[in-house]
Amino acid sequence: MAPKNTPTREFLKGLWDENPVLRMLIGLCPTLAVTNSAINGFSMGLAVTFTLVMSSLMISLMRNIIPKEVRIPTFIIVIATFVTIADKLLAAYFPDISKALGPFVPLIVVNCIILARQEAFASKNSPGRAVLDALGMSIGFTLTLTIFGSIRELIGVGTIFTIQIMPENFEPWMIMVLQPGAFITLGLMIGLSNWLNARRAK
Amino acid sequence: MTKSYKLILVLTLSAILSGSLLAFLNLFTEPKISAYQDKVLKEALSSVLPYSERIESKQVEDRELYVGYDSQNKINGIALLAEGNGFQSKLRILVGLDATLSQIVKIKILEQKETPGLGTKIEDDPTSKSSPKWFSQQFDQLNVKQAISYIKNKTPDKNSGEIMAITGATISSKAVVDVINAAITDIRLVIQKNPSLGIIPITTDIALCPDDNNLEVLLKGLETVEKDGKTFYLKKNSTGKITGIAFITSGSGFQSTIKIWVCVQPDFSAIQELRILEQDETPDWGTRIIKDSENPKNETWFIDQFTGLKIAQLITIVKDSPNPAKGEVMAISGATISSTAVIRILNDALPAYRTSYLK
Repeated sequence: MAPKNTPTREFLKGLWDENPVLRMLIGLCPTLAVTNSAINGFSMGLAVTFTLVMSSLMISLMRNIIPKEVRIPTFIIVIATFVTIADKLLAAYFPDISKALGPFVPLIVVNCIILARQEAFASKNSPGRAVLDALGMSIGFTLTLTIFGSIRELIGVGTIFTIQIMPENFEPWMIMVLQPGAFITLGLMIGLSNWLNARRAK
Repeated sequence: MTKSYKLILVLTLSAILSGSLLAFLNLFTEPKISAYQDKVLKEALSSVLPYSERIESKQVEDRELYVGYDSQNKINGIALLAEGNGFQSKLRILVGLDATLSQIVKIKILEQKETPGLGTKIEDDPTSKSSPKWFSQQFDQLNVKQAISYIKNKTPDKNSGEIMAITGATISSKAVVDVINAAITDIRLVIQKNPSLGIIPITTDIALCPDDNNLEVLLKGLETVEKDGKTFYLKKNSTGKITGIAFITSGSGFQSTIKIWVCVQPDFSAIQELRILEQDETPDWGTRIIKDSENPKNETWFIDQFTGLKIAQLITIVKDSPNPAKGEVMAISGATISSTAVIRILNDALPAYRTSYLK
Protein backbone atom coordinates (compact mmCIF):
# COMPACT_ATOMS: atom_id res chain seq x y z
CA MET A 1 0.00 0.00 0.00
CA ALA A 2 1.24 3.44 -0.91
CA PRO A 3 2.34 5.63 2.01
CA LYS A 4 -0.39 7.91 3.30
CA ASN A 5 -0.36 11.51 2.18
CA THR A 6 0.01 14.30 4.71
CA PRO A 7 -3.32 16.04 5.51
CA THR A 8 -2.19 19.16 3.61
CA ARG A 9 -1.37 17.04 0.59
CA GLU A 10 -4.80 15.37 0.87
CA PHE A 11 -6.38 18.80 0.60
CA LEU A 12 -4.11 20.26 -2.07
CA LYS A 13 -4.21 17.40 -4.56
CA GLY A 14 -7.73 18.31 -5.69
CA LEU A 15 -6.68 21.81 -6.65
CA TRP A 16 -4.21 20.85 -9.36
CA ASP A 17 -2.61 17.37 -9.48
CA GLU A 18 -5.94 15.56 -9.33
CA ASN A 19 -8.17 18.41 -10.39
CA PRO A 20 -11.41 16.63 -11.27
CA VAL A 21 -12.16 18.55 -14.46
CA LEU A 22 -8.73 19.31 -15.89
CA ARG A 23 -6.69 16.28 -14.78
CA MET A 24 -9.22 13.49 -14.18
CA LEU A 25 -11.76 14.64 -16.78
CA ILE A 26 -14.77 13.80 -14.64
CA GLY A 27 -17.82 15.93 -13.90
CA LEU A 28 -17.69 17.32 -17.43
CA CYS A 29 -21.46 17.38 -17.89
CA PRO A 30 -22.12 20.25 -15.44
CA THR A 31 -18.84 21.83 -16.50
CA LEU A 32 -20.06 22.15 -20.07
CA ALA A 33 -23.68 22.86 -19.27
CA VAL A 34 -23.81 25.59 -16.64
CA THR A 35 -20.66 27.63 -17.20
CA ASN A 36 -22.19 30.21 -19.53
CA SER A 37 -21.64 32.79 -16.81
CA ALA A 38 -19.23 33.12 -13.89
CA ILE A 39 -22.00 33.20 -11.30
CA ASN A 40 -23.59 30.01 -12.62
CA GLY A 41 -20.27 28.17 -12.59
CA PHE A 42 -19.56 29.41 -9.07
CA SER A 43 -23.00 28.45 -7.72
CA MET A 44 -22.78 25.00 -9.30
CA GLY A 45 -19.39 24.62 -7.64
CA LEU A 46 -20.85 25.54 -4.25
CA ALA A 47 -23.75 23.10 -4.65
CA VAL A 48 -21.25 20.34 -5.48
CA THR A 49 -19.03 21.38 -2.57
CA PHE A 50 -21.90 21.03 -0.12
CA THR A 51 -22.94 17.66 -1.50
CA LEU A 52 -19.42 16.26 -1.74
CA VAL A 53 -18.25 17.34 1.70
CA MET A 54 -21.41 16.15 3.45
CA SER A 55 -21.52 12.85 1.55
CA SER A 56 -17.84 12.13 2.14
CA LEU A 57 -18.22 12.83 5.85
CA MET A 58 -21.29 10.62 6.08
CA ILE A 59 -19.85 7.74 4.05
CA SER A 60 -16.60 7.87 5.97
CA LEU A 61 -18.52 7.65 9.26
CA MET A 62 -20.56 4.75 7.91
CA ARG A 63 -17.62 3.01 6.22
CA ASN A 64 -17.39 0.16 8.76
CA ILE A 65 -21.09 -0.72 8.74
CA ILE A 66 -21.75 -0.61 4.99
CA PRO A 67 -21.46 -4.14 3.54
CA LYS A 68 -19.32 -4.28 0.42
CA GLU A 69 -22.16 -5.73 -1.68
CA VAL A 70 -24.51 -2.78 -1.22
CA ARG A 71 -21.98 0.03 -0.99
CA ILE A 72 -22.93 1.69 -4.30
CA PRO A 73 -26.71 1.86 -3.53
CA THR A 74 -25.90 3.19 -0.08
CA PHE A 75 -23.58 5.83 -1.55
CA ILE A 76 -26.31 6.85 -3.96
CA ILE A 77 -28.91 7.15 -1.18
CA VAL A 78 -26.58 9.34 0.86
CA ILE A 79 -25.60 11.47 -2.15
CA ALA A 80 -29.20 11.83 -3.33
CA THR A 81 -30.24 12.94 0.15
CA PHE A 82 -27.69 15.73 0.24
CA VAL A 83 -28.41 16.77 -3.34
CA THR A 84 -32.11 17.05 -2.53
CA ILE A 85 -31.25 19.10 0.54
CA ALA A 86 -29.07 21.41 -1.57
CA ASP A 87 -31.77 21.66 -4.25
CA LYS A 88 -34.51 22.52 -1.74
CA LEU A 89 -32.35 25.02 0.12
CA LEU A 90 -31.40 26.76 -3.13
CA ALA A 91 -35.02 26.90 -4.26
CA ALA A 92 -36.13 28.26 -0.90
CA TYR A 93 -33.39 30.80 -0.21
CA PHE A 94 -31.75 31.56 -3.57
CA PRO A 95 -34.58 31.14 -6.11
CA ASP A 96 -32.77 33.06 -8.86
CA ILE A 97 -29.72 30.81 -8.77
CA SER A 98 -31.96 27.78 -8.53
CA LYS A 99 -33.79 28.93 -11.67
CA ALA A 100 -30.53 29.50 -13.56
CA LEU A 101 -29.07 26.11 -12.68
CA GLY A 102 -32.34 24.46 -13.61
CA PRO A 103 -32.23 20.67 -13.85
CA PHE A 104 -28.48 20.51 -13.21
CA VAL A 105 -28.76 20.58 -9.43
CA PRO A 106 -30.76 17.31 -9.20
CA LEU A 107 -28.27 15.86 -11.69
CA ILE A 108 -25.44 16.29 -9.17
CA VAL A 109 -26.61 12.87 -7.94
CA VAL A 110 -25.05 11.27 -10.99
CA ASN A 111 -22.01 13.57 -11.05
CA CYS A 112 -19.14 11.12 -11.17
CA ILE A 113 -16.87 13.30 -9.03
CA ILE A 114 -18.99 12.60 -5.99
CA LEU A 115 -19.45 8.88 -6.48
CA ALA A 116 -15.78 8.54 -7.44
CA ARG A 117 -14.60 10.21 -4.23
CA GLN A 118 -16.86 7.97 -2.11
CA GLU A 119 -15.68 4.80 -3.84
CA ALA A 120 -12.02 5.73 -4.08
CA PHE A 121 -11.48 7.66 -0.91
CA ALA A 122 -14.18 8.34 1.69
CA SER A 123 -15.14 4.69 2.13
CA LYS A 124 -11.51 3.81 2.96
CA ASN A 125 -10.37 6.77 5.07
CA SER A 126 -11.09 8.48 8.34
CA PRO A 127 -13.71 11.27 8.45
CA GLY A 128 -11.05 13.98 8.86
CA ARG A 129 -9.15 12.89 5.77
CA ALA A 130 -12.37 12.32 3.83
CA VAL A 131 -13.51 15.87 4.51
CA LEU A 132 -10.10 17.31 3.59
CA ASP A 133 -10.11 15.34 0.34
CA ALA A 134 -13.69 16.38 -0.42
CA LEU A 135 -12.91 20.04 0.31
CA GLY A 136 -9.85 19.99 -1.93
CA MET A 137 -11.69 18.31 -4.78
CA SER A 138 -14.69 20.58 -4.59
CA ILE A 139 -12.66 23.75 -4.28
CA GLY A 140 -10.70 22.60 -7.32
CA PHE A 141 -13.98 21.97 -9.10
CA THR A 142 -15.51 25.30 -8.03
CA LEU A 143 -12.41 27.27 -9.05
CA THR A 144 -12.27 25.54 -12.42
CA LEU A 145 -15.97 26.16 -13.10
CA THR A 146 -15.70 29.79 -12.02
CA ILE A 147 -12.71 30.34 -14.31
CA PHE A 148 -14.58 28.55 -17.10
CA GLY A 149 -17.65 30.70 -16.57
CA SER A 150 -15.55 33.87 -16.38
CA ILE A 151 -13.75 33.14 -19.66
CA ARG A 152 -16.99 32.34 -21.50
CA GLU A 153 -18.86 35.29 -20.00
CA LEU A 154 -15.96 37.68 -20.69
CA ILE A 155 -15.68 36.78 -24.36
CA GLY A 156 -19.34 35.95 -24.92
CA VAL A 157 -20.97 38.91 -23.17
CA GLY A 158 -18.07 41.20 -22.20
CA THR A 159 -18.63 40.94 -18.45
CA ILE A 160 -17.42 38.88 -15.47
CA PHE A 161 -19.93 38.37 -12.64
CA THR A 162 -22.06 40.81 -14.68
CA ILE A 163 -19.44 43.57 -14.20
CA GLN A 164 -18.55 45.18 -17.53
CA ILE A 165 -14.90 44.42 -18.31
CA MET A 166 -14.62 44.75 -22.07
CA PRO A 167 -14.68 48.21 -23.66
CA GLU A 168 -18.06 49.52 -24.85
CA ASN A 169 -17.31 48.92 -28.53
CA PHE A 170 -16.39 45.25 -28.00
CA GLU A 171 -18.59 42.98 -30.11
CA PRO A 172 -19.34 39.88 -27.96
CA TRP A 173 -18.52 36.48 -29.44
CA MET A 174 -21.95 34.98 -29.00
CA ILE A 175 -20.67 31.46 -29.65
CA MET A 176 -18.79 31.43 -26.35
CA VAL A 177 -21.99 31.42 -24.30
CA LEU A 178 -23.59 28.83 -26.57
CA GLN A 179 -22.85 25.10 -26.34
CA PRO A 180 -19.86 25.09 -28.77
CA GLY A 181 -18.14 27.72 -26.61
CA ALA A 182 -18.15 25.25 -23.71
CA PHE A 183 -16.29 22.65 -25.76
CA ILE A 184 -13.82 25.19 -27.12
CA THR A 185 -13.06 26.46 -23.61
CA LEU A 186 -12.74 22.92 -22.25
CA GLY A 187 -10.29 21.95 -24.99
CA LEU A 188 -8.17 25.05 -24.47
CA MET A 189 -8.15 24.72 -20.68
CA ILE A 190 -7.14 21.05 -20.76
CA GLY A 191 -4.49 21.86 -23.35
CA LEU A 192 -3.15 24.65 -21.17
CA SER A 193 -3.03 22.46 -18.07
CA ASN A 194 -1.23 19.70 -19.98
CA TRP A 195 1.28 22.20 -21.30
CA LEU A 196 1.92 23.61 -17.81
CA ASN A 197 2.39 20.10 -16.40
CA ALA A 198 4.76 19.12 -19.17
CA ARG A 199 6.81 22.23 -18.52
CA ARG A 200 6.90 21.55 -14.79
CA ALA A 201 8.04 17.98 -15.35
CA LYS A 202 11.10 19.09 -17.29
CA MET B 1 -27.04 -12.19 11.87
CA THR B 2 -26.62 -13.64 8.42
CA LYS B 3 -25.00 -11.60 5.67
CA SER B 4 -28.15 -11.00 3.61
CA TYR B 5 -30.05 -9.67 6.64
CA LYS B 6 -27.31 -7.14 7.16
CA LEU B 7 -27.53 -5.99 3.54
CA ILE B 8 -31.27 -5.47 3.80
CA LEU B 9 -31.01 -3.80 7.19
CA VAL B 10 -28.34 -1.29 6.13
CA LEU B 11 -30.12 -0.31 2.94
CA THR B 12 -33.53 -0.06 4.60
CA LEU B 13 -32.19 1.97 7.48
CA SER B 14 -30.35 4.40 5.24
CA ALA B 15 -33.44 4.82 3.07
CA ILE B 16 -35.66 5.44 6.11
CA LEU B 17 -33.19 7.90 7.59
CA SER B 18 -32.83 9.71 4.29
CA GLY B 19 -36.62 9.85 3.78
CA SER B 20 -37.29 11.20 7.26
CA LEU B 21 -34.54 13.79 6.98
CA LEU B 22 -35.94 15.06 3.67
CA ALA B 23 -39.52 15.09 4.94
CA PHE B 24 -38.36 17.12 7.92
CA LEU B 25 -36.47 19.55 5.69
CA ASN B 26 -39.50 19.89 3.45
CA LEU B 27 -41.47 21.30 6.40
CA PHE B 28 -39.19 24.33 6.36
CA THR B 29 -38.47 24.79 2.66
CA GLU B 30 -41.89 24.07 1.15
CA PRO B 31 -43.66 27.15 2.57
CA LYS B 32 -40.71 29.31 1.48
CA ILE B 33 -40.74 27.88 -2.05
CA SER B 34 -44.48 28.25 -2.56
CA ALA B 35 -44.42 31.72 -0.99
CA TYR B 36 -41.76 32.68 -3.51
CA GLN B 37 -43.77 31.27 -6.41
CA ASP B 38 -46.86 33.13 -5.20
CA LYS B 39 -44.83 36.30 -4.93
CA VAL B 40 -43.47 35.93 -8.45
CA LEU B 41 -46.96 35.31 -9.85
CA LYS B 42 -48.44 38.19 -7.85
CA GLU B 43 -45.78 40.61 -9.07
CA ALA B 44 -46.24 39.42 -12.63
CA LEU B 45 -50.01 39.76 -12.36
CA SER B 46 -49.89 43.26 -10.97
CA SER B 47 -47.44 44.22 -13.71
CA VAL B 48 -49.75 42.98 -16.50
CA LEU B 49 -52.93 44.30 -14.85
CA PRO B 50 -51.61 47.56 -13.36
CA TYR B 51 -55.03 49.19 -13.01
CA SER B 52 -56.66 46.43 -11.01
CA GLU B 53 -57.09 46.85 -7.26
CA ARG B 54 -57.69 43.17 -6.64
CA ILE B 55 -56.94 40.12 -8.75
CA GLU B 56 -58.82 36.87 -8.32
CA SER B 57 -57.96 33.56 -9.91
CA LYS B 58 -60.75 31.52 -11.46
CA GLN B 59 -60.70 27.99 -12.80
CA VAL B 60 -62.60 27.64 -16.07
CA GLU B 61 -62.48 24.46 -18.15
CA ASP B 62 -58.99 23.48 -16.93
CA ARG B 63 -57.72 26.97 -17.57
CA GLU B 64 -56.61 29.40 -14.94
CA LEU B 65 -57.99 32.89 -15.50
CA TYR B 66 -56.99 35.90 -13.44
CA VAL B 67 -59.74 38.46 -13.21
CA GLY B 68 -58.85 41.98 -12.15
CA TYR B 69 -61.32 44.29 -10.40
CA ASP B 70 -61.21 48.06 -9.93
CA SER B 71 -62.10 49.88 -6.70
CA GLN B 72 -65.83 49.73 -7.57
CA ASN B 73 -65.54 45.93 -7.86
CA LYS B 74 -66.05 46.07 -11.60
CA ILE B 75 -64.01 43.79 -13.84
CA ASN B 76 -61.32 45.89 -15.51
CA GLY B 77 -58.90 43.31 -16.81
CA ILE B 78 -58.25 39.66 -17.45
CA ALA B 79 -54.90 37.93 -17.37
CA LEU B 80 -54.08 34.52 -18.71
CA LEU B 81 -51.08 32.29 -19.02
CA ALA B 82 -50.08 31.61 -22.62
CA GLU B 83 -47.86 28.59 -23.09
CA GLY B 84 -46.30 27.10 -26.18
CA ASN B 85 -43.07 26.18 -27.89
CA GLY B 86 -40.50 28.74 -28.91
CA PHE B 87 -37.46 28.09 -31.07
CA GLN B 88 -35.83 25.68 -28.61
CA SER B 89 -37.65 26.04 -25.33
CA LYS B 90 -41.06 26.30 -23.77
CA LEU B 91 -42.43 29.83 -23.53
CA ARG B 92 -44.64 30.87 -20.64
CA ILE B 93 -46.10 34.32 -21.09
CA LEU B 94 -48.54 36.12 -18.84
CA VAL B 95 -50.89 38.24 -20.95
CA GLY B 96 -52.96 41.04 -19.42
CA LEU B 97 -56.04 42.05 -21.44
CA ASP B 98 -58.65 44.71 -20.95
CA ALA B 99 -62.12 43.62 -19.82
CA THR B 100 -63.41 43.40 -23.39
CA LEU B 101 -60.51 41.27 -24.59
CA SER B 102 -59.93 43.74 -27.39
CA GLN B 103 -56.61 45.16 -26.27
CA ILE B 104 -53.52 43.85 -24.53
CA VAL B 105 -52.60 45.87 -21.46
CA LYS B 106 -49.16 44.37 -20.96
CA ILE B 107 -47.40 41.06 -21.32
CA LYS B 108 -44.70 39.52 -19.18
CA ILE B 109 -42.47 36.67 -20.28
CA LEU B 110 -42.26 34.38 -17.29
CA GLU B 111 -40.12 31.65 -18.72
CA GLN B 112 -38.00 31.13 -21.81
CA LYS B 113 -34.70 29.43 -22.54
CA GLU B 114 -34.17 30.55 -26.11
CA THR B 115 -30.73 30.88 -27.74
CA PRO B 116 -28.64 33.14 -25.49
CA GLY B 117 -27.96 36.49 -27.12
CA LEU B 118 -30.48 35.99 -29.93
CA GLY B 119 -33.81 34.44 -28.92
CA THR B 120 -33.42 35.75 -25.36
CA LYS B 121 -33.93 39.24 -26.79
CA ILE B 122 -37.67 38.56 -26.57
CA GLU B 123 -37.20 39.07 -22.84
CA ASP B 124 -34.11 41.20 -22.58
CA ASP B 125 -32.18 42.90 -25.39
CA PRO B 126 -28.84 44.13 -24.03
CA THR B 127 -27.99 45.73 -27.38
CA SER B 128 -30.72 48.29 -26.79
CA LYS B 129 -29.31 50.26 -23.88
CA SER B 130 -32.29 52.61 -23.63
CA SER B 131 -35.03 49.98 -23.41
CA PRO B 132 -33.86 46.38 -23.25
CA LYS B 133 -37.47 45.25 -22.92
CA TRP B 134 -38.57 46.88 -26.17
CA PHE B 135 -39.87 43.66 -27.67
CA SER B 136 -42.39 42.84 -24.96
CA GLN B 137 -43.24 46.54 -24.55
CA GLN B 138 -44.52 46.56 -28.11
CA PHE B 139 -47.48 44.55 -26.86
CA ASP B 140 -48.57 47.33 -24.49
CA GLN B 141 -51.96 48.67 -25.63
CA LEU B 142 -51.82 46.48 -28.73
CA ASN B 143 -55.12 46.03 -30.52
CA VAL B 144 -56.01 42.33 -30.57
CA LYS B 145 -59.45 42.51 -32.17
CA GLN B 146 -57.77 40.64 -34.98
CA ALA B 147 -54.86 38.24 -34.69
CA ILE B 148 -51.50 39.86 -33.90
CA SER B 149 -49.11 39.85 -36.83
CA TYR B 150 -45.38 40.53 -36.98
CA ILE B 151 -43.64 42.65 -39.57
CA LYS B 152 -40.11 43.61 -40.48
CA ASN B 153 -38.40 46.73 -41.81
CA LYS B 154 -41.29 49.11 -41.29
CA THR B 155 -42.99 50.86 -38.41
CA PRO B 156 -45.64 48.62 -36.89
CA ASP B 157 -49.18 49.89 -36.48
CA LYS B 158 -50.55 49.13 -33.01
CA ASN B 159 -54.12 49.65 -34.16
CA SER B 160 -53.85 46.82 -36.66
CA GLY B 161 -52.18 44.58 -34.12
CA GLU B 162 -48.72 44.72 -35.60
CA ILE B 163 -45.42 44.25 -33.81
CA MET B 164 -41.85 44.31 -35.07
CA ALA B 165 -39.96 41.01 -35.15
CA ILE B 166 -36.40 40.88 -33.77
CA THR B 167 -33.71 40.68 -36.44
CA GLY B 168 -31.82 37.44 -35.87
CA ALA B 169 -34.59 36.03 -33.71
CA THR B 170 -37.48 35.86 -36.14
CA ILE B 171 -38.57 32.40 -35.06
CA SER B 172 -38.62 33.32 -31.38
CA SER B 173 -40.51 36.55 -32.12
CA LYS B 174 -42.98 34.65 -34.24
CA ALA B 175 -43.41 32.04 -31.52
CA VAL B 176 -44.33 34.74 -28.99
CA VAL B 177 -46.94 36.11 -31.40
CA ASP B 178 -48.34 32.64 -32.12
CA VAL B 179 -48.50 31.63 -28.48
CA ILE B 180 -50.34 34.83 -27.54
CA ASN B 181 -52.72 34.62 -30.52
CA ALA B 182 -53.63 31.04 -29.69
CA ALA B 183 -54.23 31.87 -26.03
CA ILE B 184 -56.46 34.84 -26.82
CA THR B 185 -58.56 32.90 -29.36
CA ASP B 186 -58.91 30.09 -26.86
CA ILE B 187 -59.93 32.35 -23.99
CA ARG B 188 -62.51 34.18 -26.14
CA LEU B 189 -64.27 30.90 -26.85
CA VAL B 190 -64.08 29.82 -23.22
CA ILE B 191 -65.51 33.11 -21.97
CA GLN B 192 -68.27 33.01 -24.52
CA LYS B 193 -69.24 29.52 -23.46
CA ASN B 194 -69.24 30.52 -19.79
CA PRO B 195 -71.33 33.65 -19.37
CA SER B 196 -71.64 32.86 -15.66
CA LEU B 197 -68.08 34.10 -15.20
CA GLY B 198 -69.51 37.57 -15.07
CA ILE B 199 -66.97 38.83 -17.52
CA ILE B 200 -68.39 41.70 -19.55
CA PRO B 201 -69.47 40.52 -23.01
CA ILE B 202 -66.74 40.86 -25.55
CA THR B 203 -67.07 43.62 -28.09
CA THR B 204 -64.73 42.50 -30.76
CA ASP B 205 -64.80 42.82 -34.50
CA ILE B 206 -64.86 39.09 -34.68
CA ALA B 207 -68.26 38.24 -33.22
CA LEU B 208 -68.50 34.49 -33.05
CA CYS B 209 -71.24 32.25 -34.34
CA PRO B 210 -72.86 29.81 -31.92
CA ASP B 211 -70.70 26.79 -31.23
CA ASP B 212 -72.80 24.33 -33.16
CA ASN B 213 -72.68 22.47 -36.45
CA ASN B 214 -76.47 22.46 -36.79
CA LEU B 215 -77.60 24.77 -39.55
CA GLU B 216 -80.85 25.69 -37.79
CA VAL B 217 -78.97 26.93 -34.75
CA LEU B 218 -76.50 28.81 -36.91
CA LEU B 219 -79.23 30.52 -38.91
CA LYS B 220 -81.11 31.72 -35.85
CA GLY B 221 -81.55 35.50 -35.90
CA LEU B 222 -79.80 35.97 -39.22
CA GLU B 223 -81.33 37.87 -42.11
CA THR B 224 -81.36 36.06 -45.46
CA VAL B 225 -80.46 38.09 -48.56
CA GLU B 226 -80.27 36.95 -52.19
CA LYS B 227 -77.62 38.66 -54.28
CA ASP B 228 -76.48 37.73 -57.77
CA GLY B 229 -78.10 34.29 -57.39
CA LYS B 230 -76.24 33.56 -54.16
CA THR B 231 -77.67 33.37 -50.64
CA PHE B 232 -76.11 35.40 -47.84
CA TYR B 233 -77.02 35.37 -44.16
CA LEU B 234 -76.44 38.70 -42.46
CA LYS B 235 -75.54 39.03 -38.80
CA LYS B 236 -76.63 42.37 -37.34
CA ASN B 237 -76.10 44.03 -33.99
CA SER B 238 -78.78 45.83 -31.98
CA THR B 239 -78.37 49.06 -33.97
CA GLY B 240 -78.90 47.26 -37.24
CA LYS B 241 -75.26 47.43 -38.32
CA ILE B 242 -74.04 44.38 -40.21
CA THR B 243 -71.38 42.64 -38.13
CA GLY B 244 -70.87 39.55 -40.21
CA ILE B 245 -71.82 37.82 -43.43
CA ALA B 246 -72.30 34.09 -43.68
CA PHE B 247 -72.81 31.76 -46.60
CA ILE B 248 -72.78 28.06 -47.31
CA THR B 249 -70.49 26.50 -49.87
CA SER B 250 -69.53 22.98 -50.75
CA GLY B 251 -67.08 20.95 -52.79
CA SER B 252 -65.62 17.49 -53.02
CA GLY B 253 -63.27 16.23 -50.39
CA PHE B 254 -61.38 12.94 -50.44
CA GLN B 255 -64.42 10.71 -50.77
CA SER B 256 -67.43 12.87 -49.98
CA THR B 257 -68.94 16.28 -50.45
CA ILE B 258 -67.87 18.72 -47.76
CA LYS B 259 -70.38 21.41 -46.93
CA ILE B 260 -68.99 24.43 -45.14
CA TRP B 261 -70.56 27.36 -43.33
CA VAL B 262 -68.35 30.42 -43.65
CA CYS B 263 -68.83 33.62 -41.70
CA VAL B 264 -66.70 36.58 -42.79
CA GLN B 265 -66.16 40.21 -41.84
CA PRO B 266 -68.64 42.63 -43.49
CA ASP B 267 -65.83 43.81 -45.82
CA PHE B 268 -64.68 40.28 -46.65
CA SER B 269 -61.27 41.02 -45.11
CA ALA B 270 -61.11 38.10 -42.69
CA ILE B 271 -62.93 34.92 -41.75
CA GLN B 272 -64.84 35.12 -38.50
CA GLU B 273 -65.82 31.52 -38.16
CA LEU B 274 -65.86 28.29 -40.10
CA ARG B 275 -68.15 25.31 -39.51
CA ILE B 276 -68.18 22.03 -41.36
CA LEU B 277 -71.87 21.22 -41.80
CA GLU B 278 -71.63 17.96 -43.67
CA GLN B 279 -68.85 15.56 -44.57
CA ASP B 280 -68.41 11.84 -44.90
CA GLU B 281 -64.64 11.52 -45.06
CA THR B 282 -62.61 8.47 -44.00
CA PRO B 283 -63.33 7.89 -40.30
CA ASP B 284 -60.32 8.66 -38.07
CA TRP B 285 -58.41 10.12 -41.02
CA GLY B 286 -60.32 12.66 -43.04
CA THR B 287 -62.74 13.28 -40.19
CA ARG B 288 -59.88 14.89 -38.32
CA ILE B 289 -60.85 18.13 -40.08
CA ILE B 290 -63.69 18.28 -37.53
CA LYS B 291 -62.27 16.46 -34.57
CA ASP B 292 -58.58 15.65 -34.46
CA SER B 293 -58.15 12.84 -31.97
CA GLU B 294 -54.37 12.96 -32.55
CA ASN B 295 -54.35 16.32 -30.84
CA PRO B 296 -56.41 15.80 -27.67
CA LYS B 297 -55.44 19.21 -26.28
CA ASN B 298 -57.31 21.00 -29.03
CA GLU B 299 -59.31 18.66 -31.22
CA THR B 300 -60.78 21.47 -33.30
CA TRP B 301 -57.47 23.19 -34.07
CA PHE B 302 -57.89 22.80 -37.82
CA ILE B 303 -61.18 24.69 -37.92
CA ASP B 304 -60.06 27.12 -35.22
CA GLN B 305 -57.13 28.36 -37.26
CA PHE B 306 -59.57 29.99 -39.69
CA THR B 307 -60.91 32.32 -37.01
CA GLY B 308 -59.43 35.74 -37.70
CA LEU B 309 -57.70 34.50 -40.86
CA LYS B 310 -57.09 37.27 -43.39
CA ILE B 311 -58.55 36.51 -46.80
CA ALA B 312 -57.46 39.52 -48.83
CA GLN B 313 -55.46 37.05 -50.93
CA LEU B 314 -55.95 33.31 -51.37
CA ILE B 315 -55.45 31.10 -48.34
CA THR B 316 -52.09 29.33 -48.45
CA ILE B 317 -50.88 26.19 -46.74
CA VAL B 318 -47.63 26.25 -44.77
CA LYS B 319 -45.79 23.44 -42.98
CA ASP B 320 -45.56 25.10 -39.58
CA SER B 321 -46.26 28.27 -37.59
CA PRO B 322 -48.84 29.76 -39.94
CA ASN B 323 -49.28 33.53 -39.87
CA PRO B 324 -53.03 34.27 -39.93
CA ALA B 325 -52.35 37.86 -40.98
CA LYS B 326 -50.91 36.53 -44.24
CA GLY B 327 -53.73 34.05 -44.78
CA GLU B 328 -51.62 31.05 -43.83
CA VAL B 329 -53.00 27.83 -42.34
CA MET B 330 -51.64 24.37 -41.70
CA ALA B 331 -52.93 21.17 -43.28
CA ILE B 332 -53.37 17.99 -41.23
CA SER B 333 -50.63 15.45 -41.90
CA GLY B 334 -52.38 12.14 -42.41
CA ALA B 335 -55.48 13.92 -43.66
CA THR B 336 -53.83 16.07 -46.29
CA ILE B 337 -56.41 15.57 -49.03
CA SER B 338 -59.40 16.27 -46.80
CA SER B 339 -57.83 19.30 -45.15
CA THR B 340 -56.50 20.82 -48.39
CA ALA B 341 -59.96 20.21 -49.90
CA VAL B 342 -61.48 22.52 -47.27
CA ILE B 343 -58.96 25.20 -48.20
CA ARG B 344 -59.54 24.68 -51.91
CA ILE B 345 -63.32 24.94 -51.47
CA LEU B 346 -62.83 28.20 -49.58
CA ASN B 347 -60.42 29.59 -52.16
CA ASP B 348 -62.91 28.74 -54.92
CA ALA B 349 -65.89 30.25 -53.13
CA LEU B 350 -64.54 33.36 -51.41
CA PRO B 351 -63.66 35.49 -54.47
CA ALA B 352 -66.99 34.65 -56.16
CA TYR B 353 -69.06 35.40 -53.05
CA ARG B 354 -67.06 38.58 -52.45
CA THR B 355 -67.74 39.90 -55.95
CA SER B 356 -71.42 38.97 -55.80
CA TYR B 357 -71.94 40.52 -52.41
CA LEU B 358 -70.02 43.75 -52.97
CA LYS B 359 -71.60 44.29 -56.40
